[in-house]
Amino acid sequence: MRPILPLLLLLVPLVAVGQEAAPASEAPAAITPPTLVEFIEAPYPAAALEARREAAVVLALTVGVDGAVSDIEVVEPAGDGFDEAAVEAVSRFRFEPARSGGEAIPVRLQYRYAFTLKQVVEEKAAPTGRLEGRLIEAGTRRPLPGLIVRLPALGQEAISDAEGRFAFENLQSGRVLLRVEDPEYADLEDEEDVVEGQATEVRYILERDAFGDTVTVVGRRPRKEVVRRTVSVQEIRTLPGTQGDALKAVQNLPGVARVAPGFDGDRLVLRGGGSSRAYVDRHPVPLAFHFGGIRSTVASALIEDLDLYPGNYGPEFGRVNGGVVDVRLRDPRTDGIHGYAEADVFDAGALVEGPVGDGGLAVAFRRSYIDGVLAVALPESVRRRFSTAPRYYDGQVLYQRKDGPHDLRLLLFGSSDRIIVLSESAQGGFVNEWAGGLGRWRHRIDDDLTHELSASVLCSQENGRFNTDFERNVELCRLTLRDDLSLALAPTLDLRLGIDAELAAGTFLLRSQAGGFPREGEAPPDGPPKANDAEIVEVTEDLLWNTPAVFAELEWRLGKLKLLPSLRLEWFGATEDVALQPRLSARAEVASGTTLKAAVGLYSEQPGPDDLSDRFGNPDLSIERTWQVSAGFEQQLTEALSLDVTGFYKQFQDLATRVDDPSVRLANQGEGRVYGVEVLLRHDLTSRLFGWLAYTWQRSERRDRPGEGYRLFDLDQTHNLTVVAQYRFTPTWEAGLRWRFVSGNPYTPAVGAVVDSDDLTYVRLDGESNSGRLPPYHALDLRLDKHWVFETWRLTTYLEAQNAYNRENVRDIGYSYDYTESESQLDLPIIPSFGVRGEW
Amino acid sequence: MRAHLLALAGFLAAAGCAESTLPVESELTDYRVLGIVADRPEVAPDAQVALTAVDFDPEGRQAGYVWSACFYSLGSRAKFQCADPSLEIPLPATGPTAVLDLAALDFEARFEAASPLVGLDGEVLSLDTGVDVTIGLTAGIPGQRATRMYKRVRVRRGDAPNQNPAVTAFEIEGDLRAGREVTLRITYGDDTPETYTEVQTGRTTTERMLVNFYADAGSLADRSPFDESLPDTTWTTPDEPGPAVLFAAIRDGRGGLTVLRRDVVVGPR
Repeated sequence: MRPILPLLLLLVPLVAVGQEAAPASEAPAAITPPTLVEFIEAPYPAAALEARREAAVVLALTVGVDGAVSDIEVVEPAGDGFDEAAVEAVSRFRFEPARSGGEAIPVRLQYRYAFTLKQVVEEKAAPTGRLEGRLIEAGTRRPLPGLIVRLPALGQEAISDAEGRFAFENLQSGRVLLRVEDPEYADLEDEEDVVEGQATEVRYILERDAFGDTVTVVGRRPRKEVVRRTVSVQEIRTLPGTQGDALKAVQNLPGVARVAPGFDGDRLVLRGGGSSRAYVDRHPVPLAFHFGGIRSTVASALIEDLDLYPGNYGPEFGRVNGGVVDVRLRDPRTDGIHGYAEADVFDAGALVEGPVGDGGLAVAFRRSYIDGVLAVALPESVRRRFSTAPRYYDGQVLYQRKDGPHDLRLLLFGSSDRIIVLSESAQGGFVNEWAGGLGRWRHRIDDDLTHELSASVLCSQENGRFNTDFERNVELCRLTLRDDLSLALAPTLDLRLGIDAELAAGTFLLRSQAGGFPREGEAPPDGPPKANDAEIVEVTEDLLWNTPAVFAELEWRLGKLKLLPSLRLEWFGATEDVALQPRLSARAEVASGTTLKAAVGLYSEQPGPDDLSDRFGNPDLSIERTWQVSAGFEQQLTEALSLDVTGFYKQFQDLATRVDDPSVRLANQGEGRVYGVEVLLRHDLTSRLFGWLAYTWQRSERRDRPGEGYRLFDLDQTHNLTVVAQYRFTPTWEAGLRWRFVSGNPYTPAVGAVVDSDDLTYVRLDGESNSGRLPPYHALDLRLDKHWVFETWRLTTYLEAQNAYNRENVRDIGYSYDYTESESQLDLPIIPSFGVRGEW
Repeated sequence: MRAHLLALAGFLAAAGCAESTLPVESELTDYRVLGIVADRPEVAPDAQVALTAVDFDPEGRQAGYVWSACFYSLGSRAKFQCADPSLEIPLPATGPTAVLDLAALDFEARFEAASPLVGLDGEVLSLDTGVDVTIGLTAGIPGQRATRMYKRVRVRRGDAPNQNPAVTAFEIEGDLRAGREVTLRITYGDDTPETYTEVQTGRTTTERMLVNFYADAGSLADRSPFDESLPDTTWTTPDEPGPAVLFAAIRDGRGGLTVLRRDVVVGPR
């Protein structure tokens, strides 16, 4: 007896097993729903057949990480033996499991198993032919699993499997009407001829109604941290002002200071300061952005999504007092050879991926051509100064293999930035290069126990120099080892244990003027260093820093309250300090759609090699500490609209600041405080609209020496408002805008100068530290995207205008050579740009 | 440190791109002190040093001068005044020249009595490695903003003290008529640049000569810090004929300074 075809009612995860149900206001993340790969026919109950009764049984079931079905409940029984038959058949179904961030996750879903008599009758008729086929997405050639294919005239349905395949058996010869309807794809209707005794094979290419990246569903990942803001690649591909760069998109979120484009643009300043780090798959990368923040150093197309923790992050991260950005890479595709090639005004890149052996391999590469543009645009008098004009490139090779509960990932990646200046008699330049590998083995031992081991080795060189007066060179190889074990101790209690060890070895060279260079809060230099040779000091040191850490975190669910006490114990080898860092966060769903949250934690950071140098700094410095506190609420206003309000306070302690004693230079005597509130009003990505309003009010202050008053931090930005909106007019046309308003940065005014006769240099005399403030910054960025979808590939072009109304934003204050006159130095004017991308 | 790297990189990228309406250093449009020249930039502890302020006023006005000195310098350039008033050395001159008489000040004995002294880099100051005496000068046209300038005179025991750069010629190549481009060129003497042994490291080093050009009329080619070691530049003469004053200031990177002046008359087109 032939089973009646099932209808999958809901594939949206209702309750995540082993993880808490996601609060309604949590940030979305990419979830791929489970796909039925093995269907089991249920025998038609004899009594029902005899009574010629049809029925449908609605079941609730759990699809585990291995694709097996468990915990079947009959939600809507049908009786007459239908329920038992359906349960027995469904218990033997096999699914491709649901995935979040590439990781298989258990989900609970509803499934409707329908028994119709018509089919049975038809099955009893003489079989004559077979119709089979495959559903492919236009443009990407991606197989489409989980779509329902109907033969309306015959009342038959089939669901496409993981390969997008479907089949109808025992069809009478003749012409049949076939229909595919899905909310995400344009409707398909076609007629096919079924020939007696033969199999008719068809292939349908469905056009997607909207084109983003390969993320299939924007879902929600359970959240533990008080503030973790997740951006999926699909959301930010067409965000104005970012050129489709995933990492740049975080600059539009609350708590992130605006850093003017330029050679300081790669700085990530979160919640009023403290160092911040960028991670790839939880391993730190030496440089997140190519210089000037033009582009991130990892191809966006390989990024699944990224989490921004502006503060109060969990115990798995450490070594910085600020915040963290964690980029998670996606799995390489294994459903054929795919790739893209793209180009815009800055660079060109390409990616190729596909199956290799039992796994998937992706190779990406990108190179800028700013040097080529400058070669045309700059006058000869300037051009001749460059032997290597500004240029960057990066590349990634990602291999992934999954075998049951095992998930192995290998990544080779690197990046290079260079400017070399060479005139007839002088030279200088800036080089920042890094390369290395990362390996990760994830093993889900069972639903209650997951083990993840990963290691990376990254070697980097950061070099800046000008003539023989100044050179700073840091060559470092960093080994990072992580081992995480997640264990469900009880239905309401999870334990996470981990090791996070870093070993860095290399050399540090600094040649510069004695007495050091400007620090935070001191006026930056107005040009290249210009020193008397007699004042030049050079120091070369071997670096061997080890910072092993262990951490433990409990996740305790008490009804609607979730408590996460944690502890991170860390050894800072460079300063020989032990840091015990307790952290606690809590979330409580106090009403439907309303969540309260709070967190407190201690964070530690060791000084850099400059500060620990025995000629320019103080090797006896100890670590700097920061207490971070935050509290707020999240409110789901509508299905797509959510509000997140978070207040925060940070207290910096033991900051390394300058002392007058020339034999000591620096001491852990500084303090700092930051307080403010972040607001995120967000409209999730729906079929047409996506956007957010991000606002941060804050005050960030420092006190350099005991007894002194507080002064403003260099990037204290009282108001920071960003409005981002994208609208899809048609499936192939979309437009976006970004408007930002940010308070001007503080600056230290010059009040005069004295002249150094030996260098013929005017040495500026500073006024009170950060006592001036630049005018507010505001700018509008616009973007228009057009997609062309062809059968096997698609083409996307975009036009973008940054600073569309050409606001003359003041970037800095420039002074005359003798500091008697000043003028505003302006930020970038309106910048039109254009890009094109073809992918298959 | 990072701030300096970034400033350097930013300068490299933006070199020559920015437009500015601010006064240009090479154009002498107001009273300017171009440098303090010591007859010897490096001297023995009992030496007498003649100091000269090389200045220029396009209107030919009489400037006023106040000289001072600090017994030894900790190298803090921004601190024009002596950090410790008791270390001030009287320099009673009121004109553009002054004399530092170390023997008369009993410099060596006073220094030894005050030792050990620590420099900015944490090093112990010694007359064997050299100690800087900082000369301060406040000069200007009465009633106008004064220029404050300082210069270090290195006091050191031992042989082969540094000398000011020897320049044999400050030439103008080209047709010296209005609205023309001509080349200004410095020619060094045989002993310039000098090769010397660094006291601290024992390394043998050759001086790197750096040149600044100035003019009170016309315009000089924009010279970035990358071009300072070039001994020549382009001067676009003024559009109108008449007298003009040119200066070249040559420094050796370790205190030696020579300032040359050329008075020229630009002919008609």
